[in-house]
Amino acid sequence: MIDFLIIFNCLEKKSSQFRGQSLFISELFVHELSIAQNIIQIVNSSVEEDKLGLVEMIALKIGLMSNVLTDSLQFSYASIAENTPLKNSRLDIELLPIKIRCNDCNEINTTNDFIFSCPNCKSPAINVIGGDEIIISSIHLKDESG
Amino acid sequence: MSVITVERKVLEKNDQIANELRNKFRSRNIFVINLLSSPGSGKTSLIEKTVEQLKGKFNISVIVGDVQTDNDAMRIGKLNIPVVQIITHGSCHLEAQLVRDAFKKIEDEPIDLLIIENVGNLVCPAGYDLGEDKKVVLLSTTEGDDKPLKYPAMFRNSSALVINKIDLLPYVNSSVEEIKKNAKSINYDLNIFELSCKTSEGIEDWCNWLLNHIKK
Repeated sequence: MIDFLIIFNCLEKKSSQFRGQSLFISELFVHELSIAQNIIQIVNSSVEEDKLGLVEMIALKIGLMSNVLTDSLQFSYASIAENTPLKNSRLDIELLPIKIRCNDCNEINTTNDFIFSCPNCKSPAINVIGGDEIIISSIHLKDESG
Repeated sequence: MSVITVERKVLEKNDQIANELRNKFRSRNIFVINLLSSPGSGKTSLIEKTVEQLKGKFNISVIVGDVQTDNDAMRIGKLNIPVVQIITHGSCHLEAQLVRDAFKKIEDEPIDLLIIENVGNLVCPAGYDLGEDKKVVLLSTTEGDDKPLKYPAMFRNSSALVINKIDLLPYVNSSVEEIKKNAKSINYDLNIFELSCKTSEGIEDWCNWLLNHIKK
Protein backbone atom coordinates (compact mmCIF):
# COMPACT_ATOMS: atom_id res chain seq x y z
CA MET A 1 0.00 0.00 0.00
CA ILE A 2 1.21 3.45 -0.83
CA ASP A 3 0.02 6.74 0.54
CA PHE A 4 1.25 10.06 -0.68
CA LEU A 5 1.79 13.21 1.24
CA ILE A 6 2.94 16.11 -0.83
CA ILE A 7 4.41 18.92 1.22
CA PHE A 8 5.14 22.13 -0.62
CA ASN A 9 8.26 23.92 0.37
CA CYS A 10 6.90 26.67 2.60
CA LEU A 11 9.64 28.91 1.32
CA GLU A 12 8.58 28.59 -2.31
CA LYS A 13 6.76 31.92 -2.29
CA LYS A 14 9.63 33.71 -0.58
CA SER A 15 12.25 32.23 -2.88
CA SER A 16 10.49 33.41 -6.03
CA GLN A 17 13.15 36.05 -6.52
CA PHE A 18 15.63 33.23 -7.09
CA ARG A 19 13.76 31.76 -10.05
CA GLY A 20 15.70 32.20 -13.24
CA GLN A 21 19.01 31.67 -11.46
CA SER A 22 20.71 28.35 -11.74
CA LEU A 23 19.28 25.41 -9.83
CA PHE A 24 22.60 25.03 -7.98
CA ILE A 25 22.30 28.51 -6.47
CA SER A 26 18.69 27.91 -5.45
CA GLU A 27 19.62 24.65 -3.75
CA LEU A 28 22.53 26.33 -1.98
CA PHE A 29 20.29 28.95 -0.38
CA VAL A 30 17.25 26.86 0.54
CA HIS A 31 18.83 25.58 3.76
CA GLU A 32 19.83 29.06 4.92
CA LEU A 33 16.46 30.51 3.87
CA SER A 34 14.79 28.05 6.22
CA ILE A 35 17.09 29.09 9.07
CA ALA A 36 16.56 32.79 8.32
CA GLN A 37 12.81 32.29 8.43
CA ASN A 38 13.11 30.62 11.85
CA ILE A 39 15.19 33.57 13.09
CA ILE A 40 12.52 36.03 11.99
CA GLN A 41 9.80 33.98 13.71
CA ILE A 42 11.73 34.06 16.99
CA VAL A 43 12.41 37.81 16.69
CA ASN A 44 8.70 38.42 16.01
CA SER A 45 7.79 36.51 19.16
CA SER A 46 10.43 38.26 21.30
CA VAL A 47 9.84 41.91 20.33
CA GLU A 48 6.62 43.89 20.56
CA GLU A 49 5.19 44.46 17.11
CA ASP A 50 5.41 48.25 17.24
CA LYS A 51 9.09 48.04 18.19
CA LEU A 52 10.22 45.70 15.37
CA GLY A 53 11.33 48.67 13.28
CA LEU A 54 13.81 49.58 16.06
CA VAL A 55 15.67 46.27 15.81
CA GLU A 56 19.21 47.06 14.70
CA MET A 57 21.08 43.86 15.25
CA ILE A 58 20.40 40.21 16.07
CA ALA A 59 23.30 38.46 17.76
CA LEU A 60 23.73 34.82 16.77
CA LYS A 61 26.07 32.10 17.99
CA ILE A 62 26.71 29.47 15.33
CA GLY A 63 28.85 26.39 15.89
CA LEU A 64 31.37 25.22 13.32
CA MET A 65 29.62 21.85 13.08
CA SER A 66 26.21 23.32 12.33
CA ASN A 67 26.68 23.25 8.52
CA VAL A 68 25.47 26.84 8.18
CA LEU A 69 27.07 28.97 5.45
CA THR A 70 27.20 32.35 7.19
CA ASP A 71 27.40 34.42 3.98
CA SER A 72 24.35 32.60 2.60
CA LEU A 73 22.55 33.16 5.89
CA GLN A 74 23.28 36.90 5.78
CA PHE A 75 22.00 37.10 2.20
CA SER A 76 18.93 34.99 2.95
CA TYR A 77 18.05 37.02 6.03
CA ALA A 78 18.39 40.31 4.17
CA SER A 79 16.19 38.97 1.36
CA ILE A 80 13.40 37.80 3.64
CA ALA A 81 13.53 40.88 5.91
CA GLU A 82 13.45 43.28 2.98
CA ASN A 83 9.72 44.00 2.93
CA THR A 84 9.15 43.66 6.67
CA PRO A 85 9.64 45.95 9.69
CA LEU A 86 13.01 44.20 10.18
CA LYS A 87 14.40 45.48 6.88
CA ASN A 88 17.04 47.68 8.54
CA SER A 89 18.32 45.01 10.91
CA ARG A 90 21.39 42.86 10.44
CA LEU A 91 22.82 39.63 11.79
CA ASP A 92 25.94 39.61 13.92
CA ILE A 93 27.37 36.08 13.88
CA GLU A 94 29.81 34.72 16.44
CA LEU A 95 31.32 31.42 15.30
CA LEU A 96 31.77 28.85 18.06
CA PRO A 97 34.46 26.16 18.01
CA ILE A 98 33.75 22.48 18.51
CA LYS A 99 33.89 21.54 22.21
CA ILE A 100 35.00 18.03 23.15
CA ARG A 101 35.21 16.10 26.43
CA CYS A 102 37.57 13.14 26.73
CA ASN A 103 35.98 10.00 28.16
CA ASP A 104 39.37 8.80 29.41
CA CYS A 105 40.98 11.83 31.08
CA ASN A 106 37.83 14.04 31.36
CA GLU A 107 39.58 17.06 29.89
CA ILE A 108 37.47 19.56 27.97
CA ASN A 109 39.01 21.22 24.93
CA THR A 110 37.96 23.14 21.85
CA THR A 111 38.97 22.65 18.24
CA ASN A 112 38.40 24.52 14.99
CA ASP A 113 39.87 21.72 12.94
CA PHE A 114 37.40 18.84 13.26
CA ILE A 115 40.02 16.78 15.10
CA PHE A 116 38.17 14.30 17.23
CA SER A 117 40.84 13.06 19.60
CA CYS A 118 41.93 14.36 22.99
CA PRO A 119 44.86 16.82 22.72
CA ASN A 120 45.87 15.82 26.25
CA CYS A 121 45.96 12.01 26.23
CA LYS A 122 45.36 11.36 22.47
CA SER A 123 42.38 9.13 23.20
CA PRO A 124 39.83 8.87 20.35
CA ALA A 125 37.07 8.22 22.89
CA ILE A 126 35.64 11.71 23.04
CA ASN A 127 32.17 13.25 23.23
CA VAL A 128 31.26 16.37 21.31
CA ILE A 129 29.58 18.65 23.83
CA GLY A 130 29.33 21.82 21.75
CA GLY A 131 29.83 23.22 18.29
CA ASP A 132 26.58 22.45 16.46
CA GLU A 133 24.52 25.21 18.03
CA ILE A 134 22.50 27.79 16.11
CA ILE A 135 21.39 30.21 18.81
CA ILE A 136 19.87 33.67 18.91
CA SER A 137 21.58 35.14 21.96
CA SER A 138 20.21 38.69 21.96
CA ILE A 139 18.30 41.34 20.02
CA HIS A 140 19.56 44.94 20.00
CA LEU A 141 17.11 47.81 19.51
CA LYS A 142 17.94 51.46 18.95
CA ASP A 143 16.28 54.09 21.11
CA GLU A 144 12.91 55.28 19.87
CA SER A 145 14.19 58.80 19.77
CA GLY A 146 17.30 57.77 17.78
CA MET B 1 19.95 51.22 22.84
CA SER B 2 18.23 48.35 24.58
CA VAL B 3 19.12 44.69 24.47
CA ILE B 4 16.69 41.80 24.77
CA THR B 5 18.36 38.62 25.97
CA VAL B 6 16.94 35.68 24.03
CA GLU B 7 19.23 32.61 24.25
CA ARG B 8 16.95 30.41 22.17
CA LYS B 9 17.89 27.77 19.64
CA VAL B 10 16.90 28.79 16.13
CA LEU B 11 15.70 25.24 15.47
CA GLU B 12 13.79 24.99 18.76
CA LYS B 13 10.48 24.44 16.98
CA ASN B 14 11.90 21.49 15.06
CA ASP B 15 13.46 20.08 18.24
CA GLN B 16 10.18 20.38 20.15
CA ILE B 17 8.26 18.50 17.46
CA ALA B 18 11.06 15.92 17.22
CA ASN B 19 10.91 15.27 20.97
CA GLU B 20 7.14 14.87 20.83
CA LEU B 21 7.59 12.36 18.03
CA ARG B 22 10.30 10.57 19.98
CA ASN B 23 7.98 10.21 22.98
CA LYS B 24 5.22 8.90 20.75
CA PHE B 25 7.52 6.35 19.08
CA ARG B 26 8.90 5.17 22.43
CA SER B 27 5.46 4.83 23.97
CA ARG B 28 4.61 2.48 21.10
CA ASN B 29 7.94 0.62 21.19
CA ILE B 30 8.77 1.63 17.63
CA PHE B 31 12.49 1.60 16.78
CA VAL B 32 13.19 4.45 14.37
CA ILE B 33 16.20 4.98 12.12
CA ASN B 34 16.94 8.10 10.05
CA LEU B 35 18.77 6.83 6.96
CA LEU B 36 21.12 9.40 5.39
CA SER B 37 23.46 9.49 2.43
CA SER B 38 24.39 11.23 -0.79
CA PRO B 39 22.01 10.70 -3.72
CA GLY B 40 22.59 7.27 -5.28
CA SER B 41 24.42 5.56 -2.42
CA GLY B 42 21.69 2.94 -2.11
CA LYS B 43 19.28 4.01 0.63
CA THR B 44 16.21 2.64 -1.10
CA SER B 45 18.03 -0.55 -2.08
CA LEU B 46 19.11 -1.05 1.53
CA ILE B 47 15.51 -0.61 2.66
CA GLU B 48 14.36 -3.16 0.06
CA LYS B 49 16.93 -5.71 1.25
CA THR B 50 16.14 -5.03 4.92
CA VAL B 51 12.42 -5.51 4.39
CA GLU B 52 12.97 -8.72 2.42
CA GLN B 53 15.00 -10.11 5.29
CA LEU B 54 12.89 -8.95 8.25
CA LYS B 55 9.35 -8.67 6.94
CA GLY B 56 8.16 -12.01 8.26
CA LYS B 57 9.42 -11.29 11.76
CA PHE B 58 8.52 -7.62 12.32
CA ASN B 59 6.15 -4.91 11.12
CA ILE B 60 8.10 -2.36 9.11
CA SER B 61 6.91 1.00 7.80
CA VAL B 62 8.81 3.56 5.75
CA ILE B 63 8.67 7.33 5.30
CA VAL B 64 10.61 8.54 2.26
CA GLY B 65 11.70 12.10 1.49
CA ASP B 66 12.69 13.34 -1.97
CA VAL B 67 12.87 16.71 -3.69
CA GLN B 68 10.80 15.33 -6.56
CA THR B 69 9.04 12.11 -7.70
CA ASP B 70 7.49 9.22 -5.85
CA ASN B 71 9.87 6.70 -7.41
CA ASP B 72 11.21 5.48 -4.09
CA ALA B 73 7.76 4.98 -2.57
CA MET B 74 6.72 3.07 -5.69
CA ARG B 75 9.66 0.71 -5.27
CA ILE B 76 9.04 0.17 -1.56
CA GLY B 77 5.30 -0.15 -2.13
CA LYS B 78 5.93 -3.34 -4.14
CA LEU B 79 7.03 -4.95 -0.87
CA ASN B 80 3.49 -4.53 0.51
CA ILE B 81 4.40 -2.50 3.57
CA PRO B 82 3.03 0.91 4.62
CA VAL B 83 5.02 3.69 2.95
CA VAL B 84 4.50 7.46 2.80
CA GLN B 85 6.30 9.70 0.28
CA ILE B 86 7.17 13.26 1.23
CA ILE B 87 7.97 15.50 -1.75
CA THR B 88 9.76 18.62 -0.56
CA HIS B 89 9.80 20.55 -3.87
CA GLY B 90 13.21 21.99 -3.11
CA SER B 91 14.01 21.56 0.57
CA CYS B 92 17.31 19.75 0.95
CA HIS B 93 16.43 17.90 4.16
CA LEU B 94 13.48 16.52 6.08
CA GLU B 95 12.24 18.33 9.17
CA ALA B 96 10.30 16.96 12.13
CA GLN B 97 7.05 18.63 11.08
CA LEU B 98 7.08 16.81 7.75
CA VAL B 99 7.72 13.48 9.47
CA ARG B 100 4.95 14.18 11.97
CA ASP B 101 2.46 14.87 9.18
CA ALA B 102 3.58 11.80 7.25
CA PHE B 103 3.38 9.53 10.30
CA LYS B 104 -0.27 10.49 10.79
CA LYS B 105 -1.00 8.61 7.57
CA ILE B 106 0.32 5.32 8.97
CA GLU B 107 -0.09 5.71 12.73
CA ASP B 108 -2.88 3.14 12.92
CA GLU B 109 -0.62 0.44 11.44
CA PRO B 110 1.22 -1.98 13.72
CA ILE B 111 4.88 -0.87 13.53
CA ASP B 112 8.00 -2.33 15.14
CA LEU B 113 10.56 -0.65 12.89
CA LEU B 114 10.13 2.73 11.16
CA ILE B 115 12.72 3.66 8.56
CA ILE B 116 12.89 7.31 7.54
CA GLU B 117 14.74 7.66 4.24
CA ASN B 118 16.01 11.24 4.21
CA VAL B 119 16.65 13.43 1.18
CA GLY B 120 19.94 12.50 -0.50
CA ASN B 121 22.39 14.97 1.03
CA LEU B 122 25.41 14.54 3.33
CA VAL B 123 25.26 18.09 4.69
CA CYS B 124 21.97 19.59 5.87
CA PRO B 125 20.09 16.55 7.24
CA ALA B 126 22.84 16.04 9.85
CA GLY B 127 21.50 18.92 11.92
CA TYR B 128 17.79 18.08 11.98
CA ASP B 129 16.33 15.85 14.66
CA LEU B 130 13.38 13.84 13.31
CA GLY B 131 12.62 12.01 16.56
CA GLU B 132 14.69 9.02 15.53
CA ASP B 133 16.52 6.58 17.81
CA LYS B 134 19.54 6.34 15.55
CA LYS B 135 20.95 8.19 12.57
CA VAL B 136 22.49 5.74 10.08
CA VAL B 137 24.79 7.10 7.38
CA LEU B 138 25.27 5.13 4.18
CA LEU B 139 28.38 5.55 2.05
CA SER B 140 29.09 3.61 -1.14
CA THR B 141 32.56 2.50 -2.21
CA THR B 142 32.25 4.56 -5.38
CA GLU B 143 32.15 7.86 -3.50
CA GLY B 144 35.75 8.00 -2.30
CA ASP B 145 37.19 7.03 1.06
CA ASP B 146 37.71 10.57 2.35
CA LYS B 147 34.01 11.43 2.60
CA PRO B 148 33.89 11.05 6.42
CA LEU B 149 36.57 13.77 6.63
CA LYS B 150 34.71 16.03 4.20
CA TYR B 151 31.37 15.70 6.00
CA PRO B 152 32.36 15.40 9.68
CA ALA B 153 29.03 16.56 11.16
CA MET B 154 27.12 13.79 9.40
CA PHE B 155 29.49 11.04 10.53
CA ARG B 156 29.82 12.49 14.02
CA ASN B 157 26.06 12.59 14.54
CA SER B 158 25.43 9.05 13.27
CA SER B 159 25.40 5.84 15.31
CA ALA B 160 26.10 3.52 12.42
CA LEU B 161 27.87 3.59 9.06
CA VAL B 162 26.83 1.22 6.29
CA ILE B 163 29.40 0.86 3.52
CA ASN B 164 27.52 -0.24 0.40
CA LYS B 165 28.55 -1.53 -3.03
CA ILE B 166 31.48 -3.63 -1.75
CA ASP B 167 30.94 -5.72 -4.88
CA LEU B 168 32.40 -2.81 -6.87
CA LEU B 169 35.67 -2.63 -4.88
CA PRO B 170 37.75 -4.26 -7.68
CA TYR B 171 36.76 -1.38 -9.98
CA VAL B 172 37.31 1.68 -7.75
CA ASN B 173 40.24 3.31 -5.97
CA SER B 174 38.61 3.24 -2.53
CA SER B 175 39.53 0.86 0.22
CA VAL B 176 37.16 -0.21 2.97
CA GLU B 177 40.01 0.01 5.49
CA GLU B 178 40.64 3.65 4.58
CA ILE B 179 36.92 4.48 4.82
CA LYS B 180 36.77 2.84 8.24
CA LYS B 181 39.91 4.58 9.46
CA ASN B 182 38.61 7.99 8.36
CA ALA B 183 35.16 7.34 9.80
CA LYS B 184 36.57 6.19 13.15
CA SER B 185 38.75 9.30 13.35
CA ILE B 186 35.56 11.38 13.26
CA ASN B 187 33.42 9.07 15.40
CA TYR B 188 35.18 6.35 17.35
CA ASP B 189 31.92 4.71 18.43
CA LEU B 190 30.48 4.16 14.96
CA ASN B 191 29.08 0.68 14.31
CA ILE B 192 30.30 -0.13 10.81
CA PHE B 193 28.77 -2.59 8.34
CA GLU B 194 30.14 -3.58 4.95
CA LEU B 195 27.63 -4.93 2.48
CA SER B 196 26.32 -5.10 -1.04
CA CYS B 197 22.66 -4.54 -1.78
CA LYS B 198 23.37 -6.08 -5.18
CA THR B 199 24.77 -9.43 -4.00
CA SER B 200 23.24 -9.40 -0.46
CA GLU B 201 26.69 -9.99 1.11
CA GLY B 202 26.75 -8.49 4.60
CA ILE B 203 22.99 -7.81 4.80
CA GLU B 204 22.55 -10.34 7.61
CA ASP B 205 24.97 -8.58 9.98
CA TRP B 206 23.20 -5.26 9.34
CA CYS B 207 19.80 -6.86 9.99
CA ASN B 208 21.11 -8.44 13.19
CA TRP B 209 22.09 -5.00 14.46
CA LEU B 210 18.54 -3.80 13.77
CA LEU B 211 17.11 -6.91 15.45
CA ASN B 212 19.06 -6.14 18.61
CA HIS B 213 17.31 -2.77 18.83
CA ILE B 214 13.80 -3.65 17.78
CA LYS B 215 11.46 -4.11 20.76
CA LYS B 216 14.32 -3.68 23.24
